[in-house]
Amino acid sequence: MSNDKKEEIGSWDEQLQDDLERKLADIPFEELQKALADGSHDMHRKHAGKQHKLCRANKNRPMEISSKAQVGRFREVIQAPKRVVRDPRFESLCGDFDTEGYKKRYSFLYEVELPAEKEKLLKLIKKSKDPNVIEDLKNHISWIDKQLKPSSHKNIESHILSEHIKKEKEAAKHGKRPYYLKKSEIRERKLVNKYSELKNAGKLDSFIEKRRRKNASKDRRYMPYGKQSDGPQS
Amino acid sequence: MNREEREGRRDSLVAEMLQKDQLESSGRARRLIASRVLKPESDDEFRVLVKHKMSVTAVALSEDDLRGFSSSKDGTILHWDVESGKHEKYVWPNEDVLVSHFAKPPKNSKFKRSKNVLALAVSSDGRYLATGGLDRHVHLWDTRTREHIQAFHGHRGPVSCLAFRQRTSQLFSGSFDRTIKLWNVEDRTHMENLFGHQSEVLTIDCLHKERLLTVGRDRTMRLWKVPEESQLVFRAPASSLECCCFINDSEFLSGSDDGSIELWNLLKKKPAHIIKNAHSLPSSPNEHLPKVSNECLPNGDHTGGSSTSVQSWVSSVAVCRGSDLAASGAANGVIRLWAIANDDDKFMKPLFAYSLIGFANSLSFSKSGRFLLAGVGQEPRLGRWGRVHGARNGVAVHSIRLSE
Repeated sequence: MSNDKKEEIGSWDEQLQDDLERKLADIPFEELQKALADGSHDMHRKHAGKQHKLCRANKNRPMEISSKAQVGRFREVIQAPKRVVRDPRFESLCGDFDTEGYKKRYSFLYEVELPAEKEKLLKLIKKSKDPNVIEDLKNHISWIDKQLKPSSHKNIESHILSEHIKKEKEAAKHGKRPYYLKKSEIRERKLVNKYSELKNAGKLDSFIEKRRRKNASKDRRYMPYGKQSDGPQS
Repeated sequence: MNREEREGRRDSLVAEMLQKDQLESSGRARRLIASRVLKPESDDEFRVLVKHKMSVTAVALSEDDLRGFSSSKDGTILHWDVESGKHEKYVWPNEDVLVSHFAKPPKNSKFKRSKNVLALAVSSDGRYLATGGLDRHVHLWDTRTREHIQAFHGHRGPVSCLAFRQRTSQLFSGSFDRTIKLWNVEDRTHMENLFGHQSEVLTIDCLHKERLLTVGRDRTMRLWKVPEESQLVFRAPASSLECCCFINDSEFLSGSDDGSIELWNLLKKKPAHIIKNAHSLPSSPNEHLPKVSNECLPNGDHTGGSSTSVQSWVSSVAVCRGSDLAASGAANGVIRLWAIANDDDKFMKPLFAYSLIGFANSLSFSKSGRFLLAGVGQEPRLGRWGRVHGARNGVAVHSIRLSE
């Protein structure tokens, strides 16, 4: 089979050659000469097997490389080590983020440093007169407030969980079996906490009203269309 | 019977030729000339054979040692008879004729074509002379009529070196654009490009095999295997290699710009032997030119002078073909002869030093080893980093006395 294929390819090459010869026959000889003598063309050559060149008998032998790979103008003059960028957030070697450890170690920032900075900024606001500067300082203060606010919902959940664990540990010392807190139970307790907070602040009513309105508007999409509400009668 | 005799003779001749080729290629049939060189007499000196107006950049000898060719920075190309010194000039045709010979006119029409010739090469049959220079073209001349035949363009930088492959019509040209181009002089065509050098190619050399030797400013010397499309890279500790030469197919010689000469072997990526301070200048300015002596310290270091100025750059190195005699030239006033040893312990011995004032931009031995030609200039070949005012621009010849 391969022999037939080779014969086919051979005859195809011959056909190409004949075509080329016919095309070239019309070009005057001087132009052909000029094209052949032109040294600025890129020569497209088929590369014969290159794999054997990478190996040399021992490391003292000269390196053998291809002579057809074009070289750019810039060469490496000094071997400068590449700066490897390692972001510890995405590096598997750095492990996972230790929230508790972070809170223990950097609690000084949230308790001492940031409030002190806020005091300083407030004083500066009182002193300065330039509106741009005042605006910058206000932005800075609001940023500090954001850092200090423990408002993330994950924090609330982990707080509830840690409380529960503490209670269970106490109870376990007295012989009671520890009870695992389900997610639904965590949500319940979160809601209870929220209600008690709002009640203390006096905003409970407005919160419940808003909740009701939102749910109502969402439930409206489950209502059937007006004209078809009679059912399968007619 | 006659026919058989003839056939027998022919077979033995063929056998002899094959054996000679094999011996030459393996390096075993080296003519031992170096041991026969006698100390130069007091009246033996470099005499100027041909004068040039500006620094000579290249010198070449034909195969029969009778005719020499030289070129200089102002574009004068001469060929001359070695015995008598009678010279004839190659006249540059005007711009229109050059363009009709396929030369490209300079890009900016305000500038004239530069005639500065940096390199020269003669074919083995003595018919073609190739020159290359700052105009980025390789010009082909006929030696019998001294006329310009054709200009090959294609290089993107000045053509700094040329070499014919022995006994063929293949011409190799190396240029400042880091490429080497292969041309066929009989068919007047461009055959191939060779890439690999990372900086300017400064010197090229070729014997009969399709193997090229080039050196460049990127501190490497490369041996190109043209049909296999590969190259071997040899690295030198110097800052730039200026010149190179084949001793035989597996040993090479090179000179660098820190004044040292390196002897290389095909099997080692670093030089087999380095001779430091081969052309050092005397350390104190009060000393006049170094005495023509061959004293050296046991580790190969010559004198205590400095080798950092432009006058210590080894600008050319030459080997008498098929023998063990080599010469190196710089601008410290001395051309040194070296003997390349066959055994391993003494790599290269200094033989004698011939005094010559000026930059020895090109050296050429005769095939017989009887005389040495030097292309001398007041300035180095590729630039004007220094100037030796006392030098006479031209081709100087020094005869070498050999014992029988």
